[in-house]
Amino acid sequence: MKAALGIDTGGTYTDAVLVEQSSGAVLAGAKALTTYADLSVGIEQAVSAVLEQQALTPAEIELVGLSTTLATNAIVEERGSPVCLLLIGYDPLLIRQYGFDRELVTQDVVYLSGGHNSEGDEIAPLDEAAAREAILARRGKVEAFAVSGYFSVRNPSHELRVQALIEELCDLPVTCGHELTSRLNAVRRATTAALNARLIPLLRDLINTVRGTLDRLGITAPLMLVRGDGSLVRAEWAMRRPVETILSGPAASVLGAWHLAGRRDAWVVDIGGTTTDIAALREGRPRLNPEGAQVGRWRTMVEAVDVHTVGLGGDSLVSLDGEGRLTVGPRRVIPLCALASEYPEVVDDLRQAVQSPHRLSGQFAVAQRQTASWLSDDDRELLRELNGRPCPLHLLDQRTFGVLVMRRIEALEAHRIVLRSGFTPTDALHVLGRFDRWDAEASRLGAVLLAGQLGLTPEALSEQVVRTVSERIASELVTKVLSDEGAVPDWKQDRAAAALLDRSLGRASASDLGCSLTLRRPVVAVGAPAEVYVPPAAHLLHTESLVAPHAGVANAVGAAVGAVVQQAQVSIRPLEAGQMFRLHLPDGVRDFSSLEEGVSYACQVMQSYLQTLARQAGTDQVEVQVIRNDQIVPLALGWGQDIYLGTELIFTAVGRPSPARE
Amino acid sequence: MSDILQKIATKLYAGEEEEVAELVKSALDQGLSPSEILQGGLIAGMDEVGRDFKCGELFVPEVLVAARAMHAGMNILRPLLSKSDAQGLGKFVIGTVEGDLHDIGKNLVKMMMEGAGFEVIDLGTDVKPAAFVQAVKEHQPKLVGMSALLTTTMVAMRSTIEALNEAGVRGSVKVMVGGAPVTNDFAQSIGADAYAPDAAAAVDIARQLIA
Amino acid sequence: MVSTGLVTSPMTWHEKPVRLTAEGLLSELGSPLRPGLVTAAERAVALAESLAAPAAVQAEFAVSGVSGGEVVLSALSDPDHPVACLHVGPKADLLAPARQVMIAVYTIGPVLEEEVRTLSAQDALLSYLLDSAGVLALAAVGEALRRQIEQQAAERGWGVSPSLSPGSLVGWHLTGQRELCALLPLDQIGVRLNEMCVLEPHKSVSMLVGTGPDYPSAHVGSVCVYCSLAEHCWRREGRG
Repeated sequence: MKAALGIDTGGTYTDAVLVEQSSGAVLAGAKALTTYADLSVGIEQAVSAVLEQQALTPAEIELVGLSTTLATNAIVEERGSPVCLLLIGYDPLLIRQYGFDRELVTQDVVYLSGGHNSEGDEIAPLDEAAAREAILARRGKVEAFAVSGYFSVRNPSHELRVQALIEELCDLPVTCGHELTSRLNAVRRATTAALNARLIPLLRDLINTVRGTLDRLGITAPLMLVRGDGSLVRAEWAMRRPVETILSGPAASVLGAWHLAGRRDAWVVDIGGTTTDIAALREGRPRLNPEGAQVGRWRTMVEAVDVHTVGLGGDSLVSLDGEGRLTVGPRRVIPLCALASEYPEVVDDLRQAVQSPHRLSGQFAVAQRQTASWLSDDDRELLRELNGRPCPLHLLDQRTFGVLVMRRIEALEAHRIVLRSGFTPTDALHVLGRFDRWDAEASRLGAVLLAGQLGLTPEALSEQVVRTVSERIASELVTKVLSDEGAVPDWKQDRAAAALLDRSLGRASASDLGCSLTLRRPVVAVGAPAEVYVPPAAHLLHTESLVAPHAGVANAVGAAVGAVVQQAQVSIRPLEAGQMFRLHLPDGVRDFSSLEEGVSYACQVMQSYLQTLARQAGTDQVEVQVIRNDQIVPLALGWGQDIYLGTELIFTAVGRPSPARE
Repeated sequence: MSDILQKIATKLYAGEEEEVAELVKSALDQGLSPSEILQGGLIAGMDEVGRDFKCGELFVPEVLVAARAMHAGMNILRPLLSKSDAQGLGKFVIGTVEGDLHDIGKNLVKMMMEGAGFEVIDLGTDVKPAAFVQAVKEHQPKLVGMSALLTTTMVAMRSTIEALNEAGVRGSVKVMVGGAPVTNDFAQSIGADAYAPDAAAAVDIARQLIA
Repeated sequence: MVSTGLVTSPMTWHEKPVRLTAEGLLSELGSPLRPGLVTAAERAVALAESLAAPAAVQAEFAVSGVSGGEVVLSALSDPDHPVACLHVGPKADLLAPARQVMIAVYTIGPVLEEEVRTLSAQDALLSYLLDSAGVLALAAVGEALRRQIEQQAAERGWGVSPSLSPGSLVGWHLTGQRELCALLPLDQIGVRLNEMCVLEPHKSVSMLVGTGPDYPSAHVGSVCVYCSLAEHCWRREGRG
């Protein structure tokens, strides 16, 4: 039996699955806690667990697919190694004037003369001498180079030349802007290239470690990584273009949804512990954001899954806002029931809180680690007081820590030195008896505390929490669909829109006006608590919901079943008032006197180019398809002719990942 | 509106440049602020000119003499206006695209836009995409206008928008295009923000774009 | 250059083809005759007369055939061997009755438009009126040429087609100037076609008129109604 091993490292859990290649059946699935500091530890645990479950021999594993949050996390946390960014033909004054230098990721930026214009003609010769000097000066000081040239996507020759120089003068990895995107905006291309360069050593380390782990477990199958568009690439490829792996988790979950639910067109809702991701599945693939993914504060040009992320999950904190309304999230906490399972005394603390005449939140602070070098003495004392035990928040006020104690706790929480615990939807499910993994009594007491403030029974409160989560999901689906269609809702400002939404979610039963919204595609739910929250949400939107089997490990399934998809684009534009046609190819420009001649040439050349690309990415059998878009605009009435603006040829190669080869 | 401002507008419409200059001086003597005179007299007058030009009641020579009268009034007010008043509604960079030397239409747009209270930076004709980018960088306008009268030069509008995009500044301006062969379809296809069929419409559209 | 048509030597005018007047200019522009405008128009007309230097070059070809939007031309002396093929477009059938065509490029020279540019910064009104006067002067040159063509045709008992020009006739794209102007020795009158398919000096026009016994009309008419600039043109014939 041939199987694929899929691995996904998520925010909370690392999942592993075994999928049988021929039938697509999921043979086994396992979860381990994500080990944030060194992802490979959690990976090893999950993979070992899943191998035990199925009793498959490692030799039967033909392929390992890995989706990892490493790139996303590293970018958000501004981690990465020192890189040098070489800019060709950029205007440093303009960059500074508009503050674009803050977008360049690194402080080590070198401006070189050179560059092209929109036609792909050189506007100044490349200053090779300066490039050489800059490269030599940085040997041993940087770990990678990024090169971005003005209008390099119309003519990459200067970038390619600098890349060759770097390869000649030192042995460091180089990223070129034109390799990562074919779109305009030189600043964002530079950002993307620099981020990529910065990530190279990090991803290389992870891949080497995972490879080591797999080898130790006797798995020799090739390792492939999931990209943010859901496609797979060989590890060697990912090491050169790590930035393409951002958002691979959400992409994998969409693919997993497709594989498990068997629908090619749907909305995919992935509920995790902390967040809910909403993305569109179209024709069996995740729909991408052509504007490029925004990660942290960086606007990249990586075309990744267009995912709408909401701070709402199974472990979101339930609290009452200033006006006494129930809110869920965005903060994520340890569920009370889970905390009590580890620290039984929590139940007593909660009982006391219930009997107290004051209105108490029922939240706790839990210290994770005792020390960190930058902590102040006051902070250390606070941590000592917490003493590794959960401390009810209301008790913190009573001690002599001053009025700023809560703020200090929050600062420590931001660094994950202290965690908070409180009532969550997971607790609500325990109260309702729909989930019984942890200590339900703690959940019940937490519910009593909140319910008392609203005049409800604990059960009614829990029902309301579950309902609130479903309603939020439904309203976020509506928000996403409307935003995609150009009508971004502002529920706070637009009262009529908010009122209609409320009526559609059943929140205004006293109104004379009912409102019914219909989502025209089904919703596929993945993620551990999916079956609880998503069907009611889909019901509110009058559409079908499908809870994928193995919903809890759908991401890992997606990592195992992806295909290799590579794309490249050729633009053809008229020159000299229509006498010539210029092809913009991946290695330079070429002119033809006839459009169709140019198109034929492009198709011929790009076939082999895509074949090579696909092979490097990890598949041997590819089908290359072409889509041709001619842009012809009618002139004003009476001019009798149209204006030909150009032709885009989009080449796509798709293939199944190849088994181990040498 | 006060009497004298009304008179200024009327005389401006009629193209009486000397009288407009005299009336502007009187208005200042009467204690009206330069900004009031600009808005209530000169701009109000050009507004009427634009309206009537748009519906075919006024023709180009009359617009030209009215604009001349406006300039005469502006010359007196300019040294007295604060910087923000002088910038008025904002800066507008205009030019005829690369390879195209037609300028009458462009000049008319310039006059109407000045008449509406925009500060216009005229790059002339045969303006390369890189020159538009430089002008945006130097003047940081709210609007960029491009004119082309030939089917063979229209494509340069796209090259300019691409140059703005590549420089990272496309989002900082609104781009308007015009000229006989240009259409709304064309404007949309090349990524412009708006198409203006004539100089008077240009003013209305510009006002909407910066609102 | 392809031309093996019968080329007449470059023509210049010593007699002004027509007199321009200030009133004529203003009424062409649709403008009222206010005193200030009339004064400016008078100056413009005087300048136009002194700065305009009309010249033209013509060539006559035999028409081998018209079909599929294409007009095939051959030398008068050798009608069986085509020398040029013009892609006129759907309106080529206006030339179906033609036995011969007369092709011309005429100009008023560069000096007037240079003065227009110089003046534009200092005196926008005069600059505009001078430019408009230049357009009228150019039109007058064209009219004079068309009268000649009509006369020559009439002497043979032939009629004439309307006057056609690339970029102004619907379907005959501006880029057609390349094929048309290649048939004439433009340099002999100081004219060239630039990369954007525009004649320089700008106050120059190319035209093609068909002649033959099967044309009913003795008058070279305009194709304003088919013109791409119909919406925008201030000189359109038949406008209300």
